[in-house]
Amino acid sequence: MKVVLALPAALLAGTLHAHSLTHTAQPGSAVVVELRYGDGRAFSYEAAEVYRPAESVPFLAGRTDANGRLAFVPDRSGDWRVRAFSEDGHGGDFTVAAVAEGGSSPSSAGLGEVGGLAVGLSILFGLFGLWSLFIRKRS
Amino acid sequence: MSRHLAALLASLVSVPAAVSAHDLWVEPDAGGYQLLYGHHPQVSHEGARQIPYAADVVRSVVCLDAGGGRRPARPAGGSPVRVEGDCAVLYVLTSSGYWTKTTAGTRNLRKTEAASPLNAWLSFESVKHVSGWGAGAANPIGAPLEIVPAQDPLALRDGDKLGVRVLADGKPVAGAVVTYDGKARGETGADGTVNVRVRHGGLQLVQAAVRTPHAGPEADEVVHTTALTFALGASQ
Repeated sequence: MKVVLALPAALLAGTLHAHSLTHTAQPGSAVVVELRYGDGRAFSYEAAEVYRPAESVPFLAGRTDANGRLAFVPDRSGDWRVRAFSEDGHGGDFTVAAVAEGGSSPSSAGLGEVGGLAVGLSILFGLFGLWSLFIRKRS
Repeated sequence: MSRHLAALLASLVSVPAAVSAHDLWVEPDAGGYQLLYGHHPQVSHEGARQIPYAADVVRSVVCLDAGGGRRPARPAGGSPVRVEGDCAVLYVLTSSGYWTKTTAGTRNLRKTEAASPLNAWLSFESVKHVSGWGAGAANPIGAPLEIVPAQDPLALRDGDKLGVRVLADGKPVAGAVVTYDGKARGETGADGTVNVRVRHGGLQLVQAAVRTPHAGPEADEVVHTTALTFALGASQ
């Protein structure tokens, strides 16, 4: 139900002409929520809103992407409300435990940095073990 | 570095959230029935919720006595629509018309009317409420889509199996996913049958949805969702 974390973004920077709107893109942590219909199809291009914990004005108002995903970068830790709905009556309204950049992890917020690092090291050790077995079998 | 590694690893984890649809069901009241649309109390985790709808979505109403004879039933306006009558079997067919998925969301338009259309469908929803057992409930009405119980559903107890047939215009529908309380319980066989286990008292909601190709440029397919409802225990 609640989705997860971390959007590795590309580093880009640029300037839009006309009224001088600048933009930056930087690596950081984002919450990515993926919405699907009951039959598994992506809930694509539908209206979505994200609210900070205990706030009633949307932090983000937009649409899901072609894969039924929406992403936001939390600036506070806590339970963020996500609403997504379509004109034909489908919808969802739930909370996602999210961690602000540099904030402490709520218990249900998925992998923190330490947890992520531990999982990463476990995967690396596992891959190394498989590679070692493969090399030994060949020799 | 560790932050980037953690972020990269965390980005591999994804748990999708399900989007719920709305349900159509019937609840008896004094001298008639209310046609309710929204979140059925047994399906929604957020609790029961009724959603207003236009009365003109009702396309046809069939009211049968226990023996299968036709009885008068009159839909009144308003929301929710109220059907006056005394029916052992009540079948209501509704349609909210054409829907088109666009890059700006789903719109209540034909595909030929919408900007940036992706796919479109003609939507039908129907419900059959059984409150008395007999030939009327045991036999098909011949509706565009219906669920026919194989035995008296009103005699069931918690844990009992109910055999149902999914029929379109009286013919078996194979491969239709049948849900109970919004959760998939099985797929119909070549004869249109599947078994569903009853898991609680009160109002029961068995649903099936069928997608068929649409003839014409207004839509790609016809989507018909039908429900069988009946009440067990004190709610009966």
